[in-house]
Amino acid sequence: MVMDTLKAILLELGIEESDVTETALLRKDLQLDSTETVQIALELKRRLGVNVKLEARQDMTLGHICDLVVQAMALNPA
Amino acid sequence: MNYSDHSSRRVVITGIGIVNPAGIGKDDFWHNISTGNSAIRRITRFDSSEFPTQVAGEILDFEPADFVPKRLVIKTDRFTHYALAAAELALQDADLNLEQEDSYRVGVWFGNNAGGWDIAERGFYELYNDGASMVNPWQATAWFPTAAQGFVTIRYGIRGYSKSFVCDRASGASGLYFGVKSILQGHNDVVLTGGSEAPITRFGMTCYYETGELSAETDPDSAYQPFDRSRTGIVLGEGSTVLVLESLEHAQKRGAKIYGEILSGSATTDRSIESGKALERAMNEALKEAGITPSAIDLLLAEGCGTQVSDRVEAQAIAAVFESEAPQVPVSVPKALFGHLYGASCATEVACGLLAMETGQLPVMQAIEQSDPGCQLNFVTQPSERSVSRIMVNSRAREAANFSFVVGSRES
Repeated sequence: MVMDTLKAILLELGIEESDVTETALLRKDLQLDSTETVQIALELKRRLGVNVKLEARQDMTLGHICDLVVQAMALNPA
Repeated sequence: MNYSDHSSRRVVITGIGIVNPAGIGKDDFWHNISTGNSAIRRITRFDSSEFPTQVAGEILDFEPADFVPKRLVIKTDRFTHYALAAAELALQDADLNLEQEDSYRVGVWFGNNAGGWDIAERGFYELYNDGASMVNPWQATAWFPTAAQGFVTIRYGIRGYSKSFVCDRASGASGLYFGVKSILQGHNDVVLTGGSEAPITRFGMTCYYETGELSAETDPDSAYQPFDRSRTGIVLGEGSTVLVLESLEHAQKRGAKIYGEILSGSATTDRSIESGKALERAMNEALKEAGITPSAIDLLLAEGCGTQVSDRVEAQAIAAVFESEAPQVPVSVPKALFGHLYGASCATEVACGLLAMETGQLPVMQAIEQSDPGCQLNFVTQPSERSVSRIMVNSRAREAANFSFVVGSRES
């Protein structure tokens, strides 16, 4: 479910659907810039009500973001 | 201020890109302009029934993804989409591949008066509805008037001397004037000039209306009537025109098709909006620098913004400069068919002049229903044919900054 939401956000940013995989890295693979990364965080907050920090120094995979979102949702159940 | 110090180089126009309410691409646009088809309509983009101004020239069939890379669409406002599309059309028309050019010798010289109100309205909504932390991350880079220039340079990897101008109705003329100068002075070989606007949003229209210069007429057929005695003010349009300028040497070297040459340009400022003395001087200097007399002008594309004062001052200035030729020279205001384009104005008029040279058809304006004794010129109100070799283009801002250019055909 979280991956579906993340995918919808990425498609709105103009990312090709075939590039959206659990192992894809935000910067290295998807070439996201800082504004696109901020937009993902804003949309996750808007759609799922969670705060996820994506501006970490370490590049992260989409699967890792999903894990962070699931953890955050468990801490703050709607 | 003019070009007389830099006469050793010559600047030609080799590409035309147009995204306009009257048509996307120069062919559709010109078909409508040369036959007098107006694109002024009641506003459809939002419910304007509660607004003091309800008509505009809207672009109805534009799909950003047809011209703009997908990743750039969401990051940019509509006025930048128009500019990216017009730049692409202009480069295609010029058959110019910028990857083969020295990127430090290519510049972008644009005008934009209004910035990006579409994204600004979205940002306001996010700020007041959801809080400061939820404002979209593109607000700062997408709204401001240099965004069109910025994203065109990013899109094509352009790194040469470039500027954007905010100068009311003469924003586009400023870009053209100084863009030409950047080639004459040897900074650039190639310049993309023109501009872009997309003010037809609730907030954008409200801001423009507050200048007191917009027409409040609700009938699209009678809202925009430059030089008519019953004129009631400006009707806004939207869109972008981009021209490819090159030094003559550069264009010849690559065997480019040359539409025409910028023969002269002059910039002056009047002391008040009621005075046209400096506008006369701009036109006289432009004629002198081009080395011609008024009788050599085949078509004059006037500012003709449609306000009572500005049109009267301009008509009298034209009459004073052209003297005995004034009743003969065809004068047209094609913006009457698609609305005033501010940053994209002037380049659009230059494009009309170049297309008139190419086709032998003149750009048509609206019919004059009530003749104004203070504006007695030879207006092009019907489709007409005429051989055109030299045109004059005027642009005048609200606070009376004037520009006048003379453009010649290849053979002139």
